[in-house]
Amino acid sequence: MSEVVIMGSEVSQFVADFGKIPLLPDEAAADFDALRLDVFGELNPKDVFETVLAHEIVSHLWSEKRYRRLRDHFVRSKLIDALARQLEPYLSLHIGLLKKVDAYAGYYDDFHRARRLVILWLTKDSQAFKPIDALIKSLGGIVHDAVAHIHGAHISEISAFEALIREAIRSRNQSLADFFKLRGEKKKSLTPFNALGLAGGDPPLEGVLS
Amino acid sequence: MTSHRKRLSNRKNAKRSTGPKTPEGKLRASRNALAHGLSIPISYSQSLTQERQDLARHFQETSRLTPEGALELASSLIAMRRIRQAEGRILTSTFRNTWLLDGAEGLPHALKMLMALKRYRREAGAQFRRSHAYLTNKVG
Repeated sequence: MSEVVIMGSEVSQFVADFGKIPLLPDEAAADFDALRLDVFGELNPKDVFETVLAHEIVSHLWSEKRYRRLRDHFVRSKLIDALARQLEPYLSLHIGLLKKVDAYAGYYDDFHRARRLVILWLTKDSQAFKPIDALIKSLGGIVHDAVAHIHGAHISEISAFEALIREAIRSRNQSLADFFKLRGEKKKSLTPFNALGLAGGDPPLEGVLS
Repeated sequence: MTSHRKRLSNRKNAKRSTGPKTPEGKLRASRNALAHGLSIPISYSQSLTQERQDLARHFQETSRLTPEGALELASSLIAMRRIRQAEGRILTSTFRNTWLLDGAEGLPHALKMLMALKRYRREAGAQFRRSHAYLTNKVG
């Protein structure tokens, strides 16, 4: 342990402020604080070096989770549009279904009607899912076409998200290695952090291709 | 090929448009090429320089750090904080609404900027590790 740098109150404040990260609108400060408490409880940092590294680990864990979530939202959003485009030409043949599952269908153009159907299908709406699922299955490989379109049109964005996730993992592992090196301990397993639900995230196309 | 008359006309028009005139406009235009600002050294900012000195002094007074080590530590902490702030600025301006990805038209540019932070993060990490080496008398 490197208990040689004592943290004065001003520096403690600096280091505490240093640990704050700007949150996105859909991120809860309580979740971030809970993660920080978990990590600090696990690592129990003793000095400024260890505290800074603990803050870095929290930040990288949060980033990893954040970039996974953003990537998943991005893919889902593009999947909705791509599927809606595939579905749009068939809608006039299934106007009965539309009126049955979507009371607001009359207010939209075909693309946006298709989009609403896809959202109801993806969110597994209790009433609408079965008939829409049957329609999509009857149309053959439109889901695979939509997925192929996403990978063709948005491969650079998806790859960039993947690279950001890898970078967050690499940085977290580096900070953990530095932390345990300072203490003269062997690097510990990442299991406690994985237990916080940070190891993965919902696969972006979960259930879609089943 | 551009005609002589057209060239003259272009030159005449260009003289009328010679950039921002007001101090506010000049200040705004001076930041046109600014992406994340991390390549600007701490020494270019009076407040950051002061903050670095204060932190370094404190570290030196309360530890076995050499003056160089204390300065390295203070610099690395400020660099890490700047990176985090830059990342936050890019993210909050791009992902105002995550589910709808409102503002996602700027997504490729934002992702490129986020990727560019990697270099600065690694540099700051290396600087942080160097500062600890001063403490343990491995350097200097």
